[in-house]
Amino acid sequence: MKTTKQYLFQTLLILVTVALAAPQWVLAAATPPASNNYTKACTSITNVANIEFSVNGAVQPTGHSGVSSFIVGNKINLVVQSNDAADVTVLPGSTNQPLSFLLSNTGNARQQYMLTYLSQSSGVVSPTSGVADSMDMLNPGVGSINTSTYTTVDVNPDTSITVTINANAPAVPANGAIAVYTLVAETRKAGSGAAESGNNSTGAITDSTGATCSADIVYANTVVSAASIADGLVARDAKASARSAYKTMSAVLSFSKAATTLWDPINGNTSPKAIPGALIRYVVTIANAAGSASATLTTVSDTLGGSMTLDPDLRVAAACGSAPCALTALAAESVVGSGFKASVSGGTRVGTSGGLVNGTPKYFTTASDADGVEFVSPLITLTAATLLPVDAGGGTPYTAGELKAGETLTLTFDVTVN
Amino acid sequence: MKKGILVMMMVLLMAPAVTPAQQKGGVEVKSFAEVEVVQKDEKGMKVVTLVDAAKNNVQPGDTVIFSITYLNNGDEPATDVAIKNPVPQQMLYLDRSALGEGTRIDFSVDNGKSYGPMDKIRVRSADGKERPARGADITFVRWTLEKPLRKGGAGKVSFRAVVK
Repeated sequence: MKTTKQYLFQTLLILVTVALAAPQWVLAAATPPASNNYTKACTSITNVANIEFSVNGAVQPTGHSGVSSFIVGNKINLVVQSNDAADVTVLPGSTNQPLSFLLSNTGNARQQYMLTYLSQSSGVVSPTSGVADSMDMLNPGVGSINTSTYTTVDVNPDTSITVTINANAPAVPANGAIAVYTLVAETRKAGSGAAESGNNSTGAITDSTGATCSADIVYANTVVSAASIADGLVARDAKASARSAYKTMSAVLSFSKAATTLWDPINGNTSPKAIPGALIRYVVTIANAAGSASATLTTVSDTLGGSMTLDPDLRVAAACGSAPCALTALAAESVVGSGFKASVSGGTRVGTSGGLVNGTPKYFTTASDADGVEFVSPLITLTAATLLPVDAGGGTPYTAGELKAGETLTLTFDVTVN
Repeated sequence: MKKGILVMMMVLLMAPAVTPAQQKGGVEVKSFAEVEVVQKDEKGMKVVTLVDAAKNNVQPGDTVIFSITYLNNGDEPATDVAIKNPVPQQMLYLDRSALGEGTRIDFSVDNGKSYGPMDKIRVRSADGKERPARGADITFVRWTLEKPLRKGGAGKVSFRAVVK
């Protein structure tokens, strides 16, 4: 003979199929530096002084002038900024995940930039969250994964381009782990990619039209952030850098199933015992922890123990008193035939597509009628896409089956012990 | 006698058609573009020297000193002497930088159509309001010599401008 405990154990089998919802990037494209509108390198500036005079009262013909000219040299300057307003959340195992940067040529000639990345070691903090680096991404590269050496790009003066560091996320990272990366841009000669001639040197310059000249070159990057100094940059080195960070984000789901004996045929609902004939209430709870990634639930399944019978009415427990009374004397919580109660809390669902509304329970029949909660003995199946469909939310839309961080989905039903 | 008249007529015909008041040579003017270079002497004192801008590193934001010298190498004094210097298009006149001993200095904000003292020139801003002109508004500088320039007389005027 099975004990009540055995019955309870059998009904604890829950199958949940979960997909992690796509992470959300918080992109706040950095504001490009204001255009300097510098006189372009290689420009010849000519000064012409004209003189007018009279002799013996007669105005003399014009054409007496003095001319001087010089060539404008190359003022090299650049800025690298992160476009990421927050740590870029990545799902475990996700591939080709970008950190976004803005590279700006704030000098006066077309330049090529050699772009490299630095993977920071533990202890270096994220520039956006302040959380210390605690992991490495896989196959990082500039522009695409596995670009292990460098990438080059030519940029005209007063022009900005977006550059990314791309990497794959580890398959099983610690949730919330941080990986900090630095993008370093080093100024090179346009087109050729040859190293620049050096600060206060004379060398070949390519202007924004592609024309070349030989003139003086000055490295004008004088302001270097503490982070860039830590990454080995110094003033007037024709380099710039910025940091950004990945953050691994998983859904942190917890499942529980609580059983409460509501009634038994001997004690009624006064200290009822889980004896044959008793009415047991099960509450299945699926919670996604606050601060984690959204989860996309697909199905939740629960197999009833063989010695249990699903009660079709989800009864109100306090309706009988201590005197033994028939189970049928307990009123239905909703209406007769609605044996399941489902609710979602902690979010902002508004029921746009007929799904659950946050904080408002909804009742379901125990029939297999595709309403989101089905029962085909002995299997209870919750279909998340129907129960939690696409929803406008309170300004933050939901995808089908999405259980956002901090939300809890609850399914309540009663069984009787045979 | 007839031969002598003919020779005189030929000489007159061969001579260039010189306007009576136009003199040979006239007033010669030269322009120099220079930049200041700060160096330290053997005692560690800073020494500022002027070097030819064409042979030195000139970058956007640098100040260039334009000096204009003039010399009357003609036979007669020159009067109403005025030097007009458009500010190069890629440069901004540095306020209060124009110098010229013995000259009256005027400025133009309309490419030389009209001139006036700096404190009298007004410009219309983008919002339609008038305001006093600033150095960046200046398009021409004009130096007018206060006295005739005698034969062999010379002088120098200058202004500074910043490379845009």
